[in-house]
Amino acid sequence: MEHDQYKQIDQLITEGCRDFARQRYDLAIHHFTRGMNSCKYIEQNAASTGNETLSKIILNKLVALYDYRAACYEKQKDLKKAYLDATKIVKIAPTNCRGYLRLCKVRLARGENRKALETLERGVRVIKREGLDVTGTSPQAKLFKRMVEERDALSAKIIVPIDRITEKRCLDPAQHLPFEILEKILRKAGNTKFILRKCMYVSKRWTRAIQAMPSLFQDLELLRHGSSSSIEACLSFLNQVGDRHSPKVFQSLKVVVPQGKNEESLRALLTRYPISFLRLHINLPDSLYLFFLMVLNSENARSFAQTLTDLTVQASLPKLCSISWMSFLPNLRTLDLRVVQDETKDKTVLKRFGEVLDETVDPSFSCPQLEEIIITSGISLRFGGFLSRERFPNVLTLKLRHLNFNSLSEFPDWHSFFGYYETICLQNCDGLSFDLFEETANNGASSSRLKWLTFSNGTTHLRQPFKQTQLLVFNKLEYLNLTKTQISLKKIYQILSTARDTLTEINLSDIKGFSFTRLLFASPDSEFSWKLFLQNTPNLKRLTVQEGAGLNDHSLKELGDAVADFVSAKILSTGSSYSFRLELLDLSYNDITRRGLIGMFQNVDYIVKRRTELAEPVSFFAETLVLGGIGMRPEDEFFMKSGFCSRCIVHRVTRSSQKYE
Amino acid sequence: MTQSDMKVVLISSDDERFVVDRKVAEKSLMIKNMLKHVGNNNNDDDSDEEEDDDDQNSEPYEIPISSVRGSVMKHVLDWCEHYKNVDFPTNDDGDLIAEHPVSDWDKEFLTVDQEMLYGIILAANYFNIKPLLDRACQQVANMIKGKSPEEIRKTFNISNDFTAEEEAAIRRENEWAEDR
Repeated sequence: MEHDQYKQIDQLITEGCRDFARQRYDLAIHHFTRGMNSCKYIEQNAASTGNETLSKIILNKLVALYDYRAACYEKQKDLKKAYLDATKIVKIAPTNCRGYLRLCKVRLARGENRKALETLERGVRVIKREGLDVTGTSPQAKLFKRMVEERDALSAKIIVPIDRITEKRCLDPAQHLPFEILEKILRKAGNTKFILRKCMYVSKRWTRAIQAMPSLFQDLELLRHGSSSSIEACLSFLNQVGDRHSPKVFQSLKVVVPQGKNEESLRALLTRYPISFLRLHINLPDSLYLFFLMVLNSENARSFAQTLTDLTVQASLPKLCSISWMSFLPNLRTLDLRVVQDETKDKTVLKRFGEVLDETVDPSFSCPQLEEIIITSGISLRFGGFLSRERFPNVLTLKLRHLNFNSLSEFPDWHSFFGYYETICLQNCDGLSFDLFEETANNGASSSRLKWLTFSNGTTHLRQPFKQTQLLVFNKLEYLNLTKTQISLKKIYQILSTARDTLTEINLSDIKGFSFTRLLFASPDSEFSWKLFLQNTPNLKRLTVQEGAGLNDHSLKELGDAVADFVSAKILSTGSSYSFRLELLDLSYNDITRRGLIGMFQNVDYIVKRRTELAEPVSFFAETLVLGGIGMRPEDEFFMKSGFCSRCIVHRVTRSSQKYE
Repeated sequence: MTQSDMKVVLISSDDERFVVDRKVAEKSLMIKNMLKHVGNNNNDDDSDEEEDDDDQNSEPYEIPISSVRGSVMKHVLDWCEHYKNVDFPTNDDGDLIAEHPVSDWDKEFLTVDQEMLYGIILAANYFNIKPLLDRACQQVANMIKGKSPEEIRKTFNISNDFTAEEEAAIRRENEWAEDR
């Protein structure tokens, strides 16, 4: 008999939902109400027989019915009845997320934003307190997740103090604060688009104030929706703002326009209005070519090219090489070239990068202002003589990605080449091993200028047997990133010991050559020791080790022991309290567990306290702790609450090997 | 008396006197610069007239601050006291290098009415206390962030003084920035 009644209720729910979908809300409400009555009837029977599982099933059905009926009332704008139904759910099933979600929705519809947020907060609190399992993919877990997300979204919109303030005096910041401070506030409040779309409409005073703040419009982005008319509108806006301020204020423009409209929009950009930018980022496959055709043909564009200091451009190789473009940019300081695959795939153009550029760029031309060169290639370009020192005497930053260095030795002064720079970034370059630096050292060039070195994904083959005649000296190095590189531990220690006074940031992600666990390698050469590591890096502030070979709970414990030794030695020698502080500790994507981490931090405290009896409550502290990909929950606040870090990131962590610098 | 435990007296516009440690007062770069030559006993050659006291160490150093009210000053000094042992590294331009995460203490500290908040901003600007200025500005920015013009008006009690035509005109001008 009960079975039949269940069926009847389910039938009513189905019918009600169908009517709801057809927008026949009255009918739907009728079905749901009938369903509730049936439920109540069964419930009474169940209560009299003491059948608990039965009442549980009925409860779930009741929740669904009230939820659906409330939705109907909501659609009919009968918010009072919707509210009553929603509160009813919360009352009969306080551990069911549906009630809170519905109530929140109704309250939002009634304009009670603050109360809506409180509802969700209460829901989250109640369910956490009850200790219900909300992990996994059960419907309840999904609802709970949604509830948490909605809560966060809402609380981002509604900030507590404001509501407290509205009761007190409200003052217009544009009236009571000086312009430079208002400007600062607006820059923090949102990007240019937000300011233009929202803040401009607040009041005349705001509009005037915003128009008088040129710095708000310094960095513009013209993206996706780049129809010709909107580009037109943007340009006319720029022109107006430009007219209000003299000299022209724009610092940078980023244009990403769909293919096919390139020519028209660029022509408009460069020729119609006398606006200049210091930084230009053009993301069009053939833009460079077009850009320089414009430069050649228009007076405005020529002056524009003269002022340009930063150029980011994405172009295919033939277009890149087809014009002697460097000559038009005398003031360029940063050049960021992104070479993309050409559609024709013509093999003849895949000549050596250097050769191609050498042929097209006037040999006597030099770019004395250029300080930074970044070349990213989607195809295997050969590195050549284009980047010669004579041509670019002042370049301090060199970032090369996805280039092919197999014929490096054909390039005449390559061996002294790397002696010049302060920043070198070589990512995913073929035919390059760390021996390069030793060879440059052997050839008399020193690496002593180098402050910032990224050498990631170098190939594993060593080009020739390593002959050490001169020690590598990196005595100014501050940043070292060796992600995915084949390098021996011995060399790492060698670098660390020459850079020990300056080095503050190290990234040792996925190094091929040693393991962080001692047990794996028997030879003392490849035995990593945290103790030795810490001794060699007294100024360490930021440490990243992602995907470290053999970095597990066991080696974490060794790290903890090393830190504890380090801290207690410091305390015992100075007699005052001390703690080991890092700005950043990134241990993502390692074979470690939350428990192992907690153990490490607590162990340090324990050892230090025992040895010195002077310990601070936290002896090992990382301002930002990054723990992606080790199965931590985003809401896990243990490390923050325990004072081991002030920010813990476990979510959306980029792998070091996939990051561009 | 050594330099570090020297007291400084700040006098607000409404003549309230605040006696604080020099270390606390020097959270303000303005006061720090002012006190540069004070307390270095042997350095009389480059001290200014007003600092040229005969027995400078026996009297606490008084600084009248005519543009800050006592109630605001109390708040600002509370902040300085709380952060007296924290160094906020700055670059050559005086801008903060690292963004310090805003602590719960700061949030609580800045949960004040708008009048006081603006007072704190102006005082932090005057005293040149960059981290406080930054955080207080962030607090106001949070009130604006992600809101519609109407919500912004409501937050700050601003009346809409645009006519429909005027609003449409601005809308046209900014059309390109709208999402489509």
